[in-house]
Amino acid sequence: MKKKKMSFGFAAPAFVIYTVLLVIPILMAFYFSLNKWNGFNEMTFIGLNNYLNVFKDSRLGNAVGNTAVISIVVVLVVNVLGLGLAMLVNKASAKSNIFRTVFFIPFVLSTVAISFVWKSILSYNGVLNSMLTALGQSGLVGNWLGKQGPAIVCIILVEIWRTLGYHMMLYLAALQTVPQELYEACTVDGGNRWDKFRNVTLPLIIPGMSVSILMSIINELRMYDVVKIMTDGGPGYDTETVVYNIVSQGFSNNMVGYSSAISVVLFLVIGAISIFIVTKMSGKEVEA
Amino acid sequence: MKKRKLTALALTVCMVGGMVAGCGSTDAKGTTDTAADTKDTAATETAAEDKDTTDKASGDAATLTFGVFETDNITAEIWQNMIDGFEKENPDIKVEKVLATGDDRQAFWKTMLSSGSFPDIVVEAQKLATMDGIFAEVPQDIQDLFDPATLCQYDGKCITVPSFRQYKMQCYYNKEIFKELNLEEPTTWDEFQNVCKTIKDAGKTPLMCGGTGDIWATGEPFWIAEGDTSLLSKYPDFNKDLSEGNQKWNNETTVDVLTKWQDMVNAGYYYEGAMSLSYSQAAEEFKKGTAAMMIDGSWQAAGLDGEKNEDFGVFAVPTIDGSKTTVADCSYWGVSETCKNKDAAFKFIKYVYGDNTDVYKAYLQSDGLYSTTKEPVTYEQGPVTTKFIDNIKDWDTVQEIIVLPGEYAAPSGMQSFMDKSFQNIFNGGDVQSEVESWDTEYQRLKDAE
Repeated sequence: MKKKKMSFGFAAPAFVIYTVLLVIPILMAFYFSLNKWNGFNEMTFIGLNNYLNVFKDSRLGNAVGNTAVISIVVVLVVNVLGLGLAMLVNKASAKSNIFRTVFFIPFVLSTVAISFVWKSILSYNGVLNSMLTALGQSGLVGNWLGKQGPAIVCIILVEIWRTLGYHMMLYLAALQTVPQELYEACTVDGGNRWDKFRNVTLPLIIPGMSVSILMSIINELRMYDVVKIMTDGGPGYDTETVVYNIVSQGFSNNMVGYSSAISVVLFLVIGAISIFIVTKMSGKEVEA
Repeated sequence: MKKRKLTALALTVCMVGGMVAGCGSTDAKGTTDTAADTKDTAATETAAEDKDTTDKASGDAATLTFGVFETDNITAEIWQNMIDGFEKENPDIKVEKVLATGDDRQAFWKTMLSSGSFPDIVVEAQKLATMDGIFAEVPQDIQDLFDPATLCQYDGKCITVPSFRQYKMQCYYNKEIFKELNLEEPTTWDEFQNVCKTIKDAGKTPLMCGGTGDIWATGEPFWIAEGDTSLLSKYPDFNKDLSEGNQKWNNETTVDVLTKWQDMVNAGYYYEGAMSLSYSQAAEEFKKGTAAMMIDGSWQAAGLDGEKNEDFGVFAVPTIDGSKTTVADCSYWGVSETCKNKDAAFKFIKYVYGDNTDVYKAYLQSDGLYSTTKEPVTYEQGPVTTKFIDNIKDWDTVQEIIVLPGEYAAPSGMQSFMDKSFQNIFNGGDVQSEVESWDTEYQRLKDAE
C-alpha cells in the first residue's frame, strides 16, 4: 500500500504539469471553438457554426493543400533517406560518428535561426544567386522565395535538411537492436544483401519506423516556424500551412473561436492518422 | 503488445495535444467566468487584477509601462529622451519601455493583452481601439491639446490621442539614372508610364518594392498612391458606405487601378526578385541603384535627409484619374483601461504633446512626421522632406481607407488579407476574383467582430 502511495507521489508532479499545461488548455480550446470570441470581450455561444465554417473556408482549403504537399514529400523523403543514411552510418567507427554528428546538427540548431540563414541564402539577392552569378551561371538564377512553385520547394528542402538527421538517429537506434546472428543465419541460408534487408532488417525495425513516420507526420502537419520566417506564408497564400492559418485567424483576425475550431479539427485529423499508423504498423511487428 | 500500442497512442495524443493547447489559455477563470457574468471589459478586468497584484508586490504604484516600437528612424534614443525628460520633471513616476518586437505589432500587443501584461500606454493604439474596453476615455483637458480634426471617437467616446500625421506615398527616384536618360519628374499618369517604359527600354529596372519579407511592402505603396486616392476622390464616404453595406470593394475603380498595376508588373517595370525581399532589403537595393524608382512614405525622405543623401529626388505619384489627392494617416496612442495610474499616464501624454515641444519635435523629425496638436509643432526639414511636402501643396488630403480609425474602421485582419491579395495579383492572380474575395473577407471579418 505504501509502495502504491509512493508511486502516486512520483507521478503527481508530471500529472499536475500535464493537466495544467495540456489537458485544461485542450478542453478550453474545445470550449472556445463553440463560441464566437475575439479573445478579449465576452463570448457568444454559436454551437457548431465555427466547425461548419471550417469546411467552407477556401483560404484554409489552400493551406490544407499546401500542408498536405509538404507533409507527404517530407515524410517520404526523411524516412527513406533517414533509413538509408542510418544504414550507412551503422558501423562503430570514428568516421561514422563524425557523419552521425554532422547529419544531426541541423536538428539541434534553432529552427528560427536556420530559417533566417536559409532565407538569406535563397533570397533573390542572396548567397545562392550571387554564387551562381559569380560562377557564370546567371541563367540559373531564380526567384526562389518569390514564386509559388519554387517557394514551396524551398520550404520542403529546408524542412528535409532540418529533420533528416533526427530521423536518421531514430532508424539508427532501431537498427542497433537487430541481432547480428540473424544476419549470419541469413548468410548461411544463401541470402544476399537485399534478402537481409527485406527479411531481417525491415521486420525488426518496424517499431522504430512507426515512431519515425508518426513523428514526421505530426511535425509536418504542425509546420509553422519555417514558413513564417522564410516566406510569411507567401507570396500571397502560396505557402500558408494550416497552423499558419490558425495563428492568422486567432491573432490577426481576432477570431479565436474559429481558430480554436481549426485546431480541434487538426487535432482530430492528426489523432486519426496516428491511430491508423500505430494500429497498422504494430500488426507488422515481429520479435527477434 | 496491446499495452505497447496503448502507450504509443497515449504519447501521440500528448504530442498532438500540444498544438491544440496553444489555442487555449491557462487563465481559465479570467476568460470563462468573466464572460458569463460581466460584459465588455471582462478580460481586461482580469488583467487588471493580475496587474494590481504585481503592482502591490513591487510596491511601486507610480510605475508606468510604455509600449513602443523602434525602426531605423524612430530609435531607442527617441523614446529614452522622452522618458528621461518626463522622469526628471516627475521624479515620483517611473516609466518602463516595453518594446514590440517583430513585424506584426498588433499581434504583439494582443498577446500582451491576453497574458495580462498589456502596457499602460501604447503607440499605434488605433489597431486595438475597435475592441471594447481596451482603452480608457481621454480626459477633456488632454483632448484640448489636439487639433479637433484629428481626434476620433469609438461608440461616442474619445479613447485615443493622435500622435502624428504621416504622409504616404510618393515616388523616390535615382537622380543619376533620370539625368542619364534625360527624364523629367512626371506629372500625369501617361508621363509616369512613359518614364517607366524609357527606363525599361534602357535595360534598367524602373521600380522596386518589397515582398514576402514584409508583405505590406509589395502592394500597399502603389495601392495607397493610386487606389485610395482614386476611390476616395470618387466615393468620399467609401468607409462609411462600405461599412453600411452600400458600397463594395469590387467596383470598376478598384479593378481598374489593380489591373493597371498588374499591367506594369507584366511589362517588367518591377524588379524581378522583389517578391523575395523585405522592405529594408528593397530600400537598400533601390539606394544601390538596382531600380530607378521606389514608391514609399515620408519616412524615406526623413531617412535620406538624416543621411544627408542628395542622390535621390521625390515626386508625387501622378494619380490615374488626374485628381490632386494624397494620403496622410494619423497614428494614435491609448491609455489602457487596466492602467492603475491613469492620471500619471495622461500626465505623460500631456508632457509629450503639451508641455515640452522639444520632445515632440524630436519624435516627429526622426521619421518625417507632422504634428497633430492644436498648436502646430514644426521643425527644420531637410531638402527631400521639403520637396516631399512641396509636391502636395494645395492637394486634397484623405485618410487611408484600411487604417481609418473610429466608427467606420475596417475590421482587424483586412489589411493583412489585402496585402496578401496584392502579392497574388503581383504574381499574376486574376484581379476580378481577387477583388471579389476582398468583399467576402471584409464581411466575414466584420461578422466576427
